[in-house]
Amino acid sequence: MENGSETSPQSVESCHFCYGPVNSDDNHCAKCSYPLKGSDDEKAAFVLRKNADQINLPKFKNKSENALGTLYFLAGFFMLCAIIVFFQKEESADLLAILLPYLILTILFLILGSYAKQKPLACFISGLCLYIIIEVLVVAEAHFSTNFIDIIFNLIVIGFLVNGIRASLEIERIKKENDLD
Amino acid sequence: MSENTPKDVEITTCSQCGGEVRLNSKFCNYCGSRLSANSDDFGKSWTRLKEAALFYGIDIVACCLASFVGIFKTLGWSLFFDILMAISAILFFAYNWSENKHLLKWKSFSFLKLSGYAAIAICCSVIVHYSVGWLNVVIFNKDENYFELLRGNLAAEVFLIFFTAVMPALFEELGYRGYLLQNLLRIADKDQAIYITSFLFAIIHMSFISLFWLIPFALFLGYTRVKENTLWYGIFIHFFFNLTACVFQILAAH
Repeated sequence: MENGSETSPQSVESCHFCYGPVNSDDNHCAKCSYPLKGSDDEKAAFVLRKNADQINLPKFKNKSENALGTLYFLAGFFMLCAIIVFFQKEESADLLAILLPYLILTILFLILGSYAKQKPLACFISGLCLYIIIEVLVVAEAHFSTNFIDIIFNLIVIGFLVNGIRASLEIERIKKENDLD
Repeated sequence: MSENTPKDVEITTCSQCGGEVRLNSKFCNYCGSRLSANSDDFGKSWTRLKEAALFYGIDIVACCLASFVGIFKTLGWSLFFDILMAISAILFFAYNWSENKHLLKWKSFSFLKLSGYAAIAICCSVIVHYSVGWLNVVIFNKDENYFELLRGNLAAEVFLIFFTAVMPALFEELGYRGYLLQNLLRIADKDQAIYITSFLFAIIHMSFISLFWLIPFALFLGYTRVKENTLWYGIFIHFFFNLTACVFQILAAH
């Protein structure tokens, strides 16, 4: 992509950035928003911004992958909890009632992880809210006592999911603006 | 519009500068702003998500305090938290008034359609009542009746219907299908926005066993709200659904 030529704005027929069609009286390209009649500084800033998007895209995708991995990790974590509870309480008459929440959570996080590649924003927001509610329930059950390891674990999980949400917003914006798949 | 624009090109208006632009453009050719339906930049989208998180956070705190903290497990505190969440829904809806006010109109009103939706709501409520009741007995060996909380109070039936059928129908629709869904439609596509709203609505009820009907019910309410472009059908669906549940509770208690 190049910026600027010496041609008079009145005779511009294609955008200098994306080569899309433009009219002679357009201020911005309707396809990429390149400032056709802007100053050299504005045009340079636009090109820098677009290049930054291309550079940052892999970083955002990496954050999105980390959030996806967090959802699968939580599914595995609750599955492990279910297995531990099963062996601890297998003689209990209420085994199904005790086990059911862990199984439901495992399935929910697995589903969220599976769909996160197609609909990352929805799955990361849902996973984050579900995890927060679970933690609030756990802390309430423990009469609002918690320990340092729990706090660190929660901060890491929430951090990955929040970063995943931000990254998925950026990825969607970059893909829309640059006509990427 | 430019003299170079063919006459058969569809025209729309830029929401930022008011200039006429071609419908299939991604950006305004006058001011350079993005033109798509969810056209907010990252900064605005992130602000909207934080507002939505504040709204949902208030509901989470209220529900958790009412459900799990001993001193708040009384009728008076339950009513207090109900009113608190209703006020929260009103305030957040009013905060984005210019974007949300059209949802309070009912241009597509049809008595036949309303009757159809009410019938669907009542049938679904009957099915849910018997299936959840069966699951509660089989898995948890208990059969909950919320009417028992109000028994002994004057006009207990009126209280139950008002706080279980009327208030949730009005204020949960206002908050979730009104404020939250409209907010998310500016950030994500229609399907994602409806899905997120439905999932958040379902899990705030804090019942794993009920997720199997809460999520489809919320999806139905979400798609109805978007299809009809009004809150009122959803309010009546929600009302008839909860009213049917109230009737079952009252009949069982008597």
